[in-house]
Amino acid sequence: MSKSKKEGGGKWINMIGLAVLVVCYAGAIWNVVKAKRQESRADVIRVVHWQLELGVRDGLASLIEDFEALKAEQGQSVEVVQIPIPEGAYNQYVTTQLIGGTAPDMIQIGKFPVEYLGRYFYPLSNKLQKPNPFLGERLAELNQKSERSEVEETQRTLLETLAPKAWMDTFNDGLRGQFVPEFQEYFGVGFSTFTVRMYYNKNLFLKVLGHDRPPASFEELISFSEAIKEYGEEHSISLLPIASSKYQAEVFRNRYLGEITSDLDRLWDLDHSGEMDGVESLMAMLRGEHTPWNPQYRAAMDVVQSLASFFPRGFMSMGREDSGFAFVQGKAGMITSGSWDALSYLKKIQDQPVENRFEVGIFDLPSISLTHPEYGIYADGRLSEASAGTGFAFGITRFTSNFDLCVEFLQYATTPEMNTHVNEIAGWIPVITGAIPKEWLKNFQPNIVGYVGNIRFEVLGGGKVKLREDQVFWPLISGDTDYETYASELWSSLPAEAATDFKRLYEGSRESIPNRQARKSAYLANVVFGGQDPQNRAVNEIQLQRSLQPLLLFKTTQKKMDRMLELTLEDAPEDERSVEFNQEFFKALEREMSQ
Amino acid sequence: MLSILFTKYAVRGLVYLGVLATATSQPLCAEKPEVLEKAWQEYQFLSMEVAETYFQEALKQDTEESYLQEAKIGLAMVSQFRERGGDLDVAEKLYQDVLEQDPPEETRRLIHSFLADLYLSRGEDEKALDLLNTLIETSPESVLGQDALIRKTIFTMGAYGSPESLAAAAEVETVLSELNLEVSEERPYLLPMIHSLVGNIYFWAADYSKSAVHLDAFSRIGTPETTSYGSQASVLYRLAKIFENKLNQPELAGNYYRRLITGYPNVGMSYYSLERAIQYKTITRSEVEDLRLNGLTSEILDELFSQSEGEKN
Repeated sequence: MSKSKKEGGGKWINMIGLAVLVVCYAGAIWNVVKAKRQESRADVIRVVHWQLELGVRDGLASLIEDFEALKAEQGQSVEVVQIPIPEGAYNQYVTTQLIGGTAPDMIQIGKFPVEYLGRYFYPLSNKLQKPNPFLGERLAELNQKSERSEVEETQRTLLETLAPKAWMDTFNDGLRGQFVPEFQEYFGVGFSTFTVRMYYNKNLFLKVLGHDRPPASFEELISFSEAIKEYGEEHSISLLPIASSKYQAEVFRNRYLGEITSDLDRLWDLDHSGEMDGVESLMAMLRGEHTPWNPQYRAAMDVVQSLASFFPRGFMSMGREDSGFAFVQGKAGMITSGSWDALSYLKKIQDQPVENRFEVGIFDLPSISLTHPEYGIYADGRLSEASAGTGFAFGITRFTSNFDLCVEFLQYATTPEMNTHVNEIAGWIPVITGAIPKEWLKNFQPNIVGYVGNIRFEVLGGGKVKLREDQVFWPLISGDTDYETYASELWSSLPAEAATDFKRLYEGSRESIPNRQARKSAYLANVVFGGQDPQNRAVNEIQLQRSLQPLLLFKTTQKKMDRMLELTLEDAPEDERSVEFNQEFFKALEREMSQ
Repeated sequence: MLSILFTKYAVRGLVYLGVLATATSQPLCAEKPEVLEKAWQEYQFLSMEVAETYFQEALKQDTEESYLQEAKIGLAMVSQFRERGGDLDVAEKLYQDVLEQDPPEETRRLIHSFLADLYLSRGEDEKALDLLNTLIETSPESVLGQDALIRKTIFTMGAYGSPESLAAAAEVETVLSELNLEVSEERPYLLPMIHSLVGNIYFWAADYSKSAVHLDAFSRIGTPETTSYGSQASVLYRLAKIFENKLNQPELAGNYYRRLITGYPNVGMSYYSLERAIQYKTITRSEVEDLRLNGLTSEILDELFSQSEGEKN
């Protein structure tokens, strides 16, 4: 009896399994049929992205609707399908689709290895160096009108300047942010730009501080935070001066490390490229200048520590969403985040019960002034946003059968009107010259004033030195260890970790050569087989030159690293700490290189 | 009389052309087969297996000899440059096959260029250097010869700062001085890359004057379109630093800072360069205002220009 019962149960499980299989199979067939039917009815282009923030999908949907209508007017049936994918699954989705050869026509660029760009995306430099035809068409349309409104006249004046320009030069930053140095090519066309600011609760400021103006200096940021903390304690309410998680703490660290050490970044930039790289950072360690006891570095850490005392307890285990949630609920005075969160915050505050809603103010993170009693002597200035660049960019994959239509879609999306329109709905900052940001976003406009770089402990991006520094940094910031413990623990383990990173950089530069060489061979052949027309030939030669740039860089990287080491040793310090550090580093390097 | 003669020769010419066209089974200057275009596109994406299939298909086409040679060279390149499963012997054999077919001179040079790489991969350095030298001597005015010059320099220069590196740089300078080439921003050939390479050799040998000459040439021949916005900005910054810190010529440094901020305001070092240009008085207040840089308020400008005046006094 029991045996037959078991057999019966087994059969049911098999049946359920089979049913699930049939349903999945039917679903898959339905999807394929649907896609095929879509394609037979119209030219379909699929666009995938990871921006699930409030407003972004609506902004894109509106753009798509307008584009489809325009094409319909021209007698072409076009369907643009938007595929939003959660950020966490994006890399896996894109990788699977690209490797499987089934990728959508356009993919938002980011979160996948840069090498994919060369393998799966069309370079767009040549297209970007020609004018955007939509601007010329609109200008001609406006010129034909016998009477123009004031708005149209302004638009016409703007278009007279923009229309003859190269498409890339119609972007506020010339689309520099989308240039990929590894390939010396542009692969993406972006729609928005982003900066980081502080949001604050004006109602709470008024209640606690008696005014609703933002802090005008770093000292005020600290004193306002102290006041909010005291107010919460006095009234026994849970009130955070600054809502923070690890994510926000990183923003503060980056900002204030730069404010206090960017002059050292320029000083230790041995090749004068404009920014110190990981190898140059290591050379400064070997010269005994870049240590955790460097007074400027120490001051920057003190600044971050002083801010962290206003973060919630256990902020390290909180997520970015948790801190955002605390702020929109009115439980915090301030929070730092990017312009990408602006619309979400405002909407969530509006969704609160009426008595909990509040007015939001936005201000730039205050700089440390030269008159600050402790840190003033090291203050260099704010971090420049000159290279904020253009983000939310899409590339065209090699699997598309509608390349020209994709280009047309991107050109249409990046006219001043459409760029304004999409960003208005998304609540983001537009990037095209003449496109107007929403009033409340003006505080987020990138600010050129300031400097770049800092002297953090990182030799290889995300390498072992960085990992080790992270391990000791968080206990320091959360108050679990003191500075001396942080410094000595970090310093003692750095030689071995730095040697591993150095070796990876040294050998990694050679690993990239075969691919670059293969690509260069294609461009060289293209010069010879691409015809004798001088104009075409010049274009092909320039493409060859661009492919040579990264190849030359990789071919000379080891030579440069060797020379930097040689010059550094000529100037090696003789104090006990440095001598010990250098001996351990070279011992570890010898071991690494022999493996 | 002249018109009769002209007509006579014109008719004769037409007859010859007709005979020639009939004698060759292919039309003159036929379009490149689509499959060959596809093969190159796949090759550029490094999708070597697909490219190989297309090149093989192209070889079966009934088309001009030159396209068949191109397809064979493509096949050889796949064998030479593919990441996995390449076969240098097969590549060499295919290249030799084309060479035996007496291809046009430029095609022959292209093959020699690839063969030089192939020999270097095999460790046959002498053979490789012979080919590179021939390319440099016979076609310094073409990108094939200039590419060979770059490769030879990297191969022979040894370490940065070594006597070999300075000898290699001097050799490049000799070639450059004998060049008879009309170089323009629109058609820079590979000269920006050559100057960048030599500029770096001198920089790491601490010969900053010579380094500056070549880096300056890079910045003048190259443009953001032909090299890149970032590399142009970076070289201007480097030149400014060389003149400021190594050669003690602040006036000249100021000029480079000025070129940087006026031409390349969207890079990280823009504001720093603006400060320096103001300090060295190579830019006026109205020129800065015309740049309309976001965030640069009149208060900040007042401060920058008054500091500069203070230093002067």
